[in-house]
Amino acid sequence: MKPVTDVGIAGWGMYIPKYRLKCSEIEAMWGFQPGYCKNLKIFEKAVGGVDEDTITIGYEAAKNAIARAKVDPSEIGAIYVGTESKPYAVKPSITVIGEALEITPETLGADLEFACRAASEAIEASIGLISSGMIKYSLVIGADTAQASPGDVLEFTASSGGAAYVLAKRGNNTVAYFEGSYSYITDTPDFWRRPLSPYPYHGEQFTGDPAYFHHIISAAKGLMESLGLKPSDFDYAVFHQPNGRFPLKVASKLGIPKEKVLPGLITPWIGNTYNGSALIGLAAVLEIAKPEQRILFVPFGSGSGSDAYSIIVEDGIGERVNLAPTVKHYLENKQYINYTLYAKFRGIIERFKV
Amino acid sequence: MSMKFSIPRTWRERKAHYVLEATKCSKCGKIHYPPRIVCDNCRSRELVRIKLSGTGKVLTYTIQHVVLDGFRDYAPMIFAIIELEEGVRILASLTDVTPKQIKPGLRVKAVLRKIVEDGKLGLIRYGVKFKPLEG
Amino acid sequence: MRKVYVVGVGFTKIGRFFDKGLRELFAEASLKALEDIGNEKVEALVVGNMMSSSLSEQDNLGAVLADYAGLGGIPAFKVEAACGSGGVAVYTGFSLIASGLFDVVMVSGVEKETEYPTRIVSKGLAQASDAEYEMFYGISFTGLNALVMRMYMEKYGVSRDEMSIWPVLMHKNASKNPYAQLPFEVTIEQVKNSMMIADPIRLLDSSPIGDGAAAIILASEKFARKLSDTPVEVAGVGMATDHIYIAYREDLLKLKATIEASKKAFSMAKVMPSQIDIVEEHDAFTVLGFINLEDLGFSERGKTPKEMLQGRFHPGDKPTVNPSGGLKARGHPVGATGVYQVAEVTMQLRGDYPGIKVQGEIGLAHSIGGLGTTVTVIILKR
Repeated sequence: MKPVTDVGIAGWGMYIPKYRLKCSEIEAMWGFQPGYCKNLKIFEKAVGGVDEDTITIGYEAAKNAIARAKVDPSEIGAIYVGTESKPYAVKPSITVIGEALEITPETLGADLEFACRAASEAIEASIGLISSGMIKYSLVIGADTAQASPGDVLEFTASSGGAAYVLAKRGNNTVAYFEGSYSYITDTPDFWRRPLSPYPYHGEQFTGDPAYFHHIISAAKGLMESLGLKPSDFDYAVFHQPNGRFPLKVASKLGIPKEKVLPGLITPWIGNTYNGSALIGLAAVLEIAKPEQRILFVPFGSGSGSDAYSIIVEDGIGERVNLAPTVKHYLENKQYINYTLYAKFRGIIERFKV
Repeated sequence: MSMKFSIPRTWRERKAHYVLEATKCSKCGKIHYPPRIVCDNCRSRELVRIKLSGTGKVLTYTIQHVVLDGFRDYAPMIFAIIELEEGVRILASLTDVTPKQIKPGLRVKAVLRKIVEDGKLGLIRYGVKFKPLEG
Repeated sequence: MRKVYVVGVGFTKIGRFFDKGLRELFAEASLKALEDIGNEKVEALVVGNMMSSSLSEQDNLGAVLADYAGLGGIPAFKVEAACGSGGVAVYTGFSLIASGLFDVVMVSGVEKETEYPTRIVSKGLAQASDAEYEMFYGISFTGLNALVMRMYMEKYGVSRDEMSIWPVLMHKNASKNPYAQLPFEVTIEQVKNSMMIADPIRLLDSSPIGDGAAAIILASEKFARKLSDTPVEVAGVGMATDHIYIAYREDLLKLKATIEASKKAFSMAKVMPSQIDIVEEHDAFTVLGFINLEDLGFSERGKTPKEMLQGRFHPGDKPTVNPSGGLKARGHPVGATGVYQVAEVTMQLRGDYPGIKVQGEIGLAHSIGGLGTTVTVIILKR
């Protein structure tokens, strides 16, 4: 892939719902051995309220990103939402968000699907659109309110949340730019959902080596080769984070010390927000990164595929951090609920038509 | 295939629910919410649209246990009359807050949330709700 | 403008009548009223009703009811102002005669609320609020009034138990009323423990859901003497409207429409509040019971609960308020209530009211549509 170096990030934002379900509640509900999720390194997960969905989460994250980018919404030329939990199977989320943010109607975009890396695909597409001069700013949102079959191990991690990025030509309010990117995809059925199913199927162990690890490592290695970089050239590494263990394991396989991964590892406290996952991790890192530092950013989506980006931080990033709520704000502003309220919020109680 | 919501009405009223705007009279300065076409103070038709900040404080509230058809999952529903910074008042639903946390004077801010759905297969109506301002 | 008199009345008991629909209820009331005028004919029919369309699938209501009760193909139409439809119907009937267009007009109010479960009737009633900016959010009519109740209690420092004097008095009055929906007494303890509907409004703060119909016959001066031995004069009428969106109003603890409508009625009747002997006012909820008396000029802002606890407005006082038991206990078949009130005040002034009797010369009926959105005040003189 030809590196494009004149596109960057003008603003970033996230939104995490305030409700939390402790792992121990799920263990107790389904009779898992106590301490089961300690293994996955997840303590609790974020749960969207009854009135929240991918659209409302995406809207809030986008509002935060636009505030940090300091751009006029009407100048945004494209909106993308990467999600696997669309409120409508057919009817775009970007139009509701676009109208609520007063971006539309002279806009392009769509809702994208590639499991957890759809938003990353939107970043790649945006880089092309901006670099070619077709548009000035792009708004990319990754948000999900992912559902797992109650009682399945996935229930420990499937959570709600999202992040958004305003991308622009380097110099147009940008605070970081893409040094290069590398995509790697194969037909690997580690996790899928057919249209009539409310919950996904997954391959348990198969989701590891052939899927997550193979694609992230291939993309990261491909990126480093094409840019002539070594693992030690990076100050931070943010990976897709389906649980608290996988990112540390893949970092170790790549020869990256865990100290560089921990600042961007947020899943243990909020669960796996799917399309929000890696994007929230990157947002957390951008809050603390200093100019000229280099970030390795590698989202992954089942099906499967990975993109690896090298991002270099620019001057002025520090002043943008407090223009919107930080990750600390969302992690601290929480309210615990029990399994029964979670079941009501997530709509997993079946009502039979009488 | 049963459909309770009007499609044209949902479409026609969407902006009013997505973006909080009031009208201001160019002649006498009165601010009106919901937006008007004629000033009720001086009868002038020269009104301009102003965007509202979305932050304010709770003047009075209620916790509604008996809900209307279609709102079963949202009970108990909390409604409030909120005085926005601009001096206008708005009636809205409060979200992300428990009954114990509400009191008159509570500072709140507007967020976009689902208001109601036409069942699991029909349209979703989004609109403004208010949640406590933290920090 | 000509003088107008009430020459006949008739109404049904109020309750849940699964065996009667709109037509049957209307027939019962209207035939009784016609008997009261010796079965003479009426020239026109005005029907007050709120939910015939949303709950009974019936529009064109005036014609349907006129035909069913054998009134002939007379001019007949429905007027609607939510729960104030009855008051507005009386106002309209008055204008038909005062203007000289007709000499004898029947005004009826009829409501059939018990066709569906509460959650559906609630939606019908909620249509009295702003469809796009209030009901849109899922607030019920009770929820809307609860916002006002909380504000009233906090501003004037009135406690839960002090507010409860209203339902306690209403039920006490209704226990003597043979056609009331809830003719039994309640205690302060019972009010405090009744089910919470929309905090702070409890079940016993709220008028009940019920069916009923009332009819009055209005006549010009010439016909009044022929049709009745005890005609009661409609001395003054007034109506006003306010912003339906309650948050836009200047003061949430006053109903401007009541203040305006009553001013017009008092002025037309050439009387002052201090001369009123009987009041039937629109206490859809406890808090409105108090606010109405303040708006009508009978008591000071915020002081009504405490005054009532000391005995004001009870039977024997001037004015006696809601001797029927009010909306709370006599009942509130919404569109019909305003006509019930005028029939009740008429019977009080005539001396043949079947419940608590109040001696007096001048009475006032007060009917509200929505939360003070459309208000009618009718003043009657013996």
